[in-house]
Amino acid sequence: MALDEMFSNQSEELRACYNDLMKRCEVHLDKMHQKLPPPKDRWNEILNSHGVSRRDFLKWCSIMTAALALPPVFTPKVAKAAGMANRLPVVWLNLAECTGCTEALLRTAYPGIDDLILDTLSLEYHETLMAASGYQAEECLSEALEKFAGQFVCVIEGAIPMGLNGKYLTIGAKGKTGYEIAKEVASKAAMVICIGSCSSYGNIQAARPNPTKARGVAEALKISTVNIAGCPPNATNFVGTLLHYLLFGALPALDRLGRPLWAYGKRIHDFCERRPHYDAGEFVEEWGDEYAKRGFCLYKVGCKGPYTYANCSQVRFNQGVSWPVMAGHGCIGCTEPDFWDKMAPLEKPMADHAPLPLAGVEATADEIGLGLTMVTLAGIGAHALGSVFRGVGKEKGGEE
Amino acid sequence: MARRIIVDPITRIEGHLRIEVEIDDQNRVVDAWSSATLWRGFELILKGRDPRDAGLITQRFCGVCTYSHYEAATLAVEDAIGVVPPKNARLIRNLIQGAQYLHDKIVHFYHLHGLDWVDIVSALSARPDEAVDLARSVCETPYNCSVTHYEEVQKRLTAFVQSGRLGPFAHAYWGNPSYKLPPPANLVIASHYLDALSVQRVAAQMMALFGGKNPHPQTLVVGGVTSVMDALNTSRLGEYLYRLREVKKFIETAYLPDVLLAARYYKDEGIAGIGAGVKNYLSYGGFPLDDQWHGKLFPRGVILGGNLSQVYEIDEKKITEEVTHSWYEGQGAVHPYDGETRPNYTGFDEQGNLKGSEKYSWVKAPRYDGKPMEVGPLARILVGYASGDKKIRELVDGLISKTGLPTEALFSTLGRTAARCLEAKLIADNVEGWVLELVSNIKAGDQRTWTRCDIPKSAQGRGMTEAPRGSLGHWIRIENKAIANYQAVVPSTWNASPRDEKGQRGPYEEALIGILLANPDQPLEIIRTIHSFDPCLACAVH
Amino acid sequence: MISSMKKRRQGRAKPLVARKQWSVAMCINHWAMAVCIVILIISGLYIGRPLTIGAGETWQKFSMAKVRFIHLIFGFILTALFIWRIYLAFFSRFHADWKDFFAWLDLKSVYHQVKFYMLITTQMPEHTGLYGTLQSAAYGFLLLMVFLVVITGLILYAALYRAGLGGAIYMFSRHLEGVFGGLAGARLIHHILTWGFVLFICVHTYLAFWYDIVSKRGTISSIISGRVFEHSDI
Ligand code: HEM
Ligand code: HEM
Ligand code: NFV
Ligand code: SF4
Ligand code: SF4
Ligand code: F3S
Ligand SMILES: [Mg+2]
Repeated sequence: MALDEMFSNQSEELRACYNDLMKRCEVHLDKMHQKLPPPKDRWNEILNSHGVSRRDFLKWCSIMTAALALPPVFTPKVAKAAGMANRLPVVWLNLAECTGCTEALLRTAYPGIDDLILDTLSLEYHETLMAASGYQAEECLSEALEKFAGQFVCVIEGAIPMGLNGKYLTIGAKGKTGYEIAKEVASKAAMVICIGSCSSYGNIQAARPNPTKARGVAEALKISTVNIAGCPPNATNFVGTLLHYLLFGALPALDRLGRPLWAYGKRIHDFCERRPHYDAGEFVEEWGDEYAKRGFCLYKVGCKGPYTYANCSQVRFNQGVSWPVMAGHGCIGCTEPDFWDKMAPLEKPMADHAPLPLAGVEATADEIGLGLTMVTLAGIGAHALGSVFRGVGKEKGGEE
Repeated sequence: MARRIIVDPITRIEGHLRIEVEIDDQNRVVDAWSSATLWRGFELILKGRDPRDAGLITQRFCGVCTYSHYEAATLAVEDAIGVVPPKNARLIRNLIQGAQYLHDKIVHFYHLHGLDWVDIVSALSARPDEAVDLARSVCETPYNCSVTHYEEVQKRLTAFVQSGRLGPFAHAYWGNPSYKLPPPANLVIASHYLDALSVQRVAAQMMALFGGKNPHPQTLVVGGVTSVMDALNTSRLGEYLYRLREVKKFIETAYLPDVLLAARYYKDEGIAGIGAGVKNYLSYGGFPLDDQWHGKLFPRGVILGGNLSQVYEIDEKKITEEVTHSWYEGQGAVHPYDGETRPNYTGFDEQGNLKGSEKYSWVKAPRYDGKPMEVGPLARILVGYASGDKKIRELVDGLISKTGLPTEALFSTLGRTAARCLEAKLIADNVEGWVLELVSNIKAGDQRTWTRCDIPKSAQGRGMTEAPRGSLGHWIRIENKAIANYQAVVPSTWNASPRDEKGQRGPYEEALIGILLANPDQPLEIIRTIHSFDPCLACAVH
Repeated sequence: MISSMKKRRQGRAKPLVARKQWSVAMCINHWAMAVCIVILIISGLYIGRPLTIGAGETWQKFSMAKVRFIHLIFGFILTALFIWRIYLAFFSRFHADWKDFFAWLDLKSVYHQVKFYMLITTQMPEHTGLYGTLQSAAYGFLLLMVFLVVITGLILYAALYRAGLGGAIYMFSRHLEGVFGGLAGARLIHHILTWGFVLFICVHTYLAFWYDIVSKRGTISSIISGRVFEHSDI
């Protein structure tokens, strides 16, 4: 078997582990094949009609296999999973959000496989894209919940406002709150994927003072979710997570914030094209200066790449056209919880972080620190003078 | 007996919109209420922060018109400081905004609005050869037009329908008598629906080239832009141009002809002025053309009561917002500098309907000189047309001569949709010039992309621009170098506005009055007219 | 030890006698820590606001990397010193018991001590343990700061270097990262602590001199030589 050959040089343990994984994968793919509803459109035909050759497709599969940290023998399985993606029923909820994540997924690679997968996803409910409105829309949702209970993937875009009993967001003629809807749908889903930092961690609406008490889905519903963090996230990270689910029926390895490690295991800074400039001490001092023209590091104009786990520097956006650091603006840390508060001001280095309620009053840690030091030194001076004046320490015999 | 119809959620828009209408015995809409059902509280979140962060934050109002808020906030802070960004920055901003327009209009017409005009099921029964002829009747070299291609499209659609899993197309209003296109027309536009999925990606890449990514670019800063390396890189400019041409071709050979087709078969509705609405139009002016930032591709002005013979100059002091019927505390109409945002949710009535005579929406009610105003493509085109702008006149006259519609037919749902297309064409025609201007300016030795500036201790400023959906203004007050107050009045705030103190309806509401529903259980006509505004509720409320 | 201290306060104009206060280990530990902290403050603040070196070729320069390297070296030395200090607190045969850091629990004495430091009274309060009450709190707090700076430093380090030692630390630090609110939070706390050290050095050094002058017991030299001088009964 290929696996054995492949790992003949590797440790027994690793081989056993991958053997195991492969078995799990085969069993699960078969199960999915039995269980999932038939496709709307055959995958091969979709590829054909988009002029994608089998070779291109397999190439993409091997890239995804590597991205998911699987050995190359898994490539055919990834191909199978990709072909099944359009059978997987997806219910997509839009809660307190900006729809940027939906937009981001609609704008993935061109011409590429990610976009074909996303174009052909079986969206049973997605308010931004579905034809029906009003009662008919609600009907689509209840039908999907019934027909595909325990089978569909629930994707949530947007935070859940918890203030006012959830009434900051209502959807549908009956005025159900976002919280109620999310709770119901999530309870029937095979898995919940949070797309974007809003559903992952609350994001912008949860920024101080969080007027609507917005929360990430995991926190609000007290469930565990896969968090495809980012504002918006990279579509590849979403597609990879779907594939992983199809392959193993399980979530990929996650970090402590629910982010798939294969995509969020390293920092922006670790693979940044400007990194050599960082190490060399070459920094952009102000926007558009000589150093900016030479592509120096953006650390001093506020790049938060060193504190941000994500793969933007590797996969970039819009089919690799660019990414924030390439456009000369630092990373703002959009895959990290509370980045609006924690990384503010966004265009200043961390050393200039201003605790928010005081922001703008020139209250960065360094300024406060320096101020306090001055005060302390003045106090010491006064104390020294006072000591002399009071005669502390003069030989007073017994008193000492 | 009046009957109440609730449409919630309105889909194929951005955000959470609820429309309630009352229809009479003839199924004619006699009253309407528009309500946004999500509030996030940006204007409170912004307080106390560094003004330079406002652009990136307000950008998250909306994932569709991301760049517009980024720009409006940046302009507002620049206005407060009194700094003018260099020429290169102006041009790069125009290129990014241009890309956003092109993207937005294509996606709106095909993916958000298209199914209000096009019956996908009817497309299955079309004869591909007839479709080819029809496409050629509105365009010499139609986009992706051949019998085999149309057959291919039909095959895909048929497989889709036969699978029994319609997914996002389930429970739509197929077969509703308000669909008026013949099968071949449905097939042509449906095929472009699929093509547009790819083309819009190319437009998105145009934004990313100078914006870093799309949506939510990350390149604007107070005083200029950061993508200096991209600007100085000729191959980057070439990449932009290459994509522009691809998008432009789609606009000229698919989008524009499809709108002509729609105009042919929905002509009566245009002439009858269905969906006209308040007929007051406002445009702040957009796409600065000179280094004083005065000349604008879209002229600035106000039209009242549908009177195209007079364009009024804008008096910014007349812009106000009030919350009589909005879920906020506060009294009277106030200028945005003095505006406040204090939520006061009062919910629905016992029947679960909007409390139409009380507060009923998270959208505030902006007014100009006390009047509700429509903003957006139609407003811009009309203001441009009425102020005699040569380029816009040409476009409008071309449309009128090709469709045989009278100018007044622009005051309608159809007119709004057509105006959006004209605008896409206008932008596509002008973007290339900006690229060339950028190249020659850089060649002349001007590499500046940023003007040095610092946040003043206290100041106030406003940023006014034209977003895809209309006139966008951000008003900022800075104290102690931090944001003391921030108010945004967004295109969809104008359009989705609820009633005001005087009981005047907002533009969505007014546009629905008089619409006849073919089947009250299928609110197709309501949705078509609402969609023609391209609603964005995350924008409207923020 | 306590009884000897009590005794030493009783006599008047008794002869000065050198008494061993600190072990050699304590002295070395203290001064090594002091040196590390000073270097770490300087290199750390530089990392926070590095200088741009425009001239020269990128590949020939390594200024930021060098400073970070120095910072890390001394960071690890400090980590080791901290562990050693804790070891001493629990296992040393000499005076550095962990209990000594809790003298401040005697609140009455704290009050007295404050009055003394505030120059309200010139009467020097008695020590019941190794440190005065405020000293105990200050040193305890200081060690706590060292602990936090080491932890946040290690979190930052592990994120930088995922291989080898960094990887090993990451197994633990990835859980801790959240406690500090991610890397940015850890970095911020690390940075704030830096200023805590700056303040501490000012006060600590001043008081050391002040106390020396006031008590005439050679406090300054004690932390070098290990001995204090006191009036002996004998
Ligand atoms: C008194 C002790 C220390 C002080 C005063 C100190 C100070 C600093 C400062 C000011 C920074 C820059 C933070 C910023 O402005 O963003 C920094 C960064 C750092 N420190 Fe320390 N530090 C100390 C101990 C340590 C220790 C014990 C370690 C761990 C081994 C450590 C590891 C680091 C690391 C890894 C960074 C980040 C460097 C980078 O991002 O490249 N530090 N430190
Ligand atoms: C003028 C000279 C100084 C004197 C006389 C002095 C004296 C002392 C004494 C008596 C202690 C308590 C010892 C203990 O229980 O460990 C101490 C603790 C400490 N000192 Fe100093 N110190 C001086 C300067 C400094 C400087 C310059 C620094 C740092 C830059 C420093 C850092 C520390 C630290 C970190 C501790 C607490 C750690 C510990 O308890 O081991 N000291 N100092
Ligand atoms: N309304 C609105 Fe926007 C636009 N265009 C606004 O500035 O979409 Ni979200
Ligand atoms: S994560 Fe960002 S892009 Fe996605 S919905 Fe939230 S605000 Fe929009
Ligand atoms: S630009 Fe940002 S991510 Fe890149 S090396 Fe510099 S600090 Fe790191
Ligand atoms: S801002 Fe976000 S998109 Fe990537 S580069 Fe930074 S994580
Ligand atoms: Mg507002």
